[in-house]
Amino acid sequence: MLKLTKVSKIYEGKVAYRALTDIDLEIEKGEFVAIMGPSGSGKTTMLNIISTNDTPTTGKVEIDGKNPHELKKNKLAKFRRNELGFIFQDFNLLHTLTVEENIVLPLTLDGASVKEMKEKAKKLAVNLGIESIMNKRTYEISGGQAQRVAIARAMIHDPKLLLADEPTGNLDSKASKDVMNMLVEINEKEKTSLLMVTHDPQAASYSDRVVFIRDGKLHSEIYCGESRQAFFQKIIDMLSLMGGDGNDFSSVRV
Amino acid sequence: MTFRQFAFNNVWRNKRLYIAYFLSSLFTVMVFFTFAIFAFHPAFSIGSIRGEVLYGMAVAGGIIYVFSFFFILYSMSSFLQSRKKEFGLLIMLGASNKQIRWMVFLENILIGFFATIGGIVAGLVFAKAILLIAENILIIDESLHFYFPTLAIVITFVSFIFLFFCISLFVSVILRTNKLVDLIKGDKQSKGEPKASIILSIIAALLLIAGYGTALYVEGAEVVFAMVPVIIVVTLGTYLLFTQLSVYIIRQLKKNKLIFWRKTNMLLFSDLSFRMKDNARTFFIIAIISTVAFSAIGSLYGFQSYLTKQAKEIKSYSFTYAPWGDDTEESIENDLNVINATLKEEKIDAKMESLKLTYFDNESIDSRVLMVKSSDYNRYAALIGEEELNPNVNEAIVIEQSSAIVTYGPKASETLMDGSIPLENGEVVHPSKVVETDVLTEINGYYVVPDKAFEQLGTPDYQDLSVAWQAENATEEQLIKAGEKLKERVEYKVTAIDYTVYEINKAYGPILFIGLFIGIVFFVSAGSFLYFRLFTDVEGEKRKFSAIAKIGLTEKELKRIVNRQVALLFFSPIVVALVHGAVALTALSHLFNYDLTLEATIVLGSFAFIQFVYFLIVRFSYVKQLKSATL
Repeated sequence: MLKLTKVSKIYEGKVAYRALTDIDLEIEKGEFVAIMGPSGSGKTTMLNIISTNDTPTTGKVEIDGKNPHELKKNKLAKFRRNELGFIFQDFNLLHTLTVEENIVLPLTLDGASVKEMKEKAKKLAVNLGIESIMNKRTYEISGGQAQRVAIARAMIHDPKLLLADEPTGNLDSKASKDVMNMLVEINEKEKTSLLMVTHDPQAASYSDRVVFIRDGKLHSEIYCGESRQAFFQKIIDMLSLMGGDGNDFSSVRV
Repeated sequence: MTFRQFAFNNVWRNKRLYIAYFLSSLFTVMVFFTFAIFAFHPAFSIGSIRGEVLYGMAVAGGIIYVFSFFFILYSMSSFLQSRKKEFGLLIMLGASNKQIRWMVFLENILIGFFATIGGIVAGLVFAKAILLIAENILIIDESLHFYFPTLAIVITFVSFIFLFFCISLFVSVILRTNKLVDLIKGDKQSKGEPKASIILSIIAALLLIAGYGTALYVEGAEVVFAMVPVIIVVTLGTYLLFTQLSVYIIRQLKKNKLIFWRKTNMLLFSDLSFRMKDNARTFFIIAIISTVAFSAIGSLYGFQSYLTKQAKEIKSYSFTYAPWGDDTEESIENDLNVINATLKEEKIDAKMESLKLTYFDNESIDSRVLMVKSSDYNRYAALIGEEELNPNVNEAIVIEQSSAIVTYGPKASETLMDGSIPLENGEVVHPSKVVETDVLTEINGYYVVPDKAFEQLGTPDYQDLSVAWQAENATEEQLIKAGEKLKERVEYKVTAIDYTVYEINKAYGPILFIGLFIGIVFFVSAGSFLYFRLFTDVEGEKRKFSAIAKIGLTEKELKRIVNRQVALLFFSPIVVALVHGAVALTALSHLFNYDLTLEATIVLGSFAFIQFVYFLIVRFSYVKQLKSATL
């Protein structure tokens, strides 16, 4: 599904900075992978490269056998719109639009028929439990609701790969739990591959596999066993093994 | 870091944010200063420019100053609006209201000071160009040389420092203490759409129709009486058009999902309605300001063309001479000699014709009327190349002025056509047709009768003399020179058409220039309002588009959205203003009974063109800014 081969990213500047070094990563269809690591370890850079917002300095990214970085700018926009779904930490909803309009936006841009859009939005809203707020504006709803709207928007065009950047970063524990359950449900039902970057071990424990990166390199990975509780414990252990919060200064800050 | 340093650094390190406000202030100062350079030019204080013109310039200067005040005030308040979040942050960090006002006050003084200096420097650079243009439009005998405008500099500097000081004081009014949470969320909350009611929308349409209808229907002197009510009705109608009718239409469009959910329409319309309250107000201001500019320039230009054309058409002979009623034969003889000598002096070859004008009291039309022998008429007609008239026996031809003269009451021809001319031999001559020519000047019209019938008219009740010269192969300069000399030598008895037109242009030039200047100031500031409206929200727009771009938005789609958004902003108020202007100029042409179509087309067309160019420039920079945010 998604395949990264020897991906490196170097930020040019007065002092060149190596953000990613030879990352190899493969995600199967329908797999749910979480990426963890301390601040400055290169998580977001990696996500940006996969989401085609940034280009790798060397290496190759393949999504469904295609390399999106070889596409022209306009084709790339269409590719993003049709093949990928995005969920952001700060939701990125447009406040000039209502909830329903936000959800159908990707389809609107593609020129889908109103009937189709209505139907899809309705189905998603029922699944995500937001059908009662469809006509509200984005500043009238809570953070948890906003993230569910963002999930609906990311899912409306049935993307092959869903990318989430700290989806629970702005939410309280109850809302986090709801959102994570929803993502798992989508992942199981629709067989959508999911890649999530997170700081939150609780959120990460919902995934099938957690990949740890540190200083731009793959550090290790652990798989979910039978119990989510045990998986959570393993993640915590791994984080403390990596040095936990005490040492997560990036090399730039020192 | 002291608070003063903070305020200073805030401006200095945030140059990009302040540049729009700074530039529009600078522009305003520049406009006022160039006008001052012109108004205080030494050529005017010693030259032949009359008092009224100087008075007119003082008034114009005042208008520009007052307008500058409101313009800068508006620029500043929209600038402060875009910084709500920053103020919120400062308050959150513990800045008192007093401190924030003090900071804004300092900033304004700083910007105002540099804008004033910059405006004066920029004005000096443009001064020569302005003076050159003025020289050509004004027809001034003295050339407007470049001078160092000490007085203009002092006056501009003092008045604008004072203006910026007043505006800085005004800040406390604008910066009403909002709730902190409102400030921080500032850009996310919609000010809401104005309430749109169907009734008010219909009233808007009705008001506009009524205003336009009246303006187009009334004729002649009625226009003057209808003007004020029509202006009020149309202004009100325009306001309702933007606050009610447009909101109503957008609502209906939004309800129709087939249209609203079609591709990029959703982004466009939601954005429009989100900012409808601001937009409606801006649209209204721009439409009214532009209408004022269009009408002012259009009517001045039209009026000038009307005056010169009329003068040229009524007296189509190069020179005409009409003695006073009590002039003796000798003095007339003397005058004619002087005129002929002057023409010789200027080397003008002219054909001369003279004619005794005979007036008869006519009972059938109850007034004194001019009768002209057809052979006399034909002599004169030949002079200016008009067609000859040969009335049949016992037939008279009614002649009417073809030129546009403001007349009230029935037309001359209508009265004369009803009349009849009794002859001494008992026969009666009846008028057969009306001909419009410029052969002889008689406002009430006259009869041309066959030579034979003329002899039977008896003794005239009043006689006058008319002498006309038609120059051949003379340049305009020669004619103007001769006209000027004749004015001194024979005073009011001679009319020299080219010199009269020259004099009208000379007297009218400054008025036209002032009108143009003010019109352009209004028009350009309307453009600045638009620029502000667009760039106040540019940060929010950048965020919005970068969010959409992450989902996937092609460059073409981005351009399409922005194109429509900017086009709507630029053209909807201007189209309204153009229609307003066109109606106003049509009403004006009804007042003078003079066709202004060409003038109106030139003026309105050139404004539309300038607006289009401005649109292209602004769109380019706007798209560039948005693209830099999305990629």
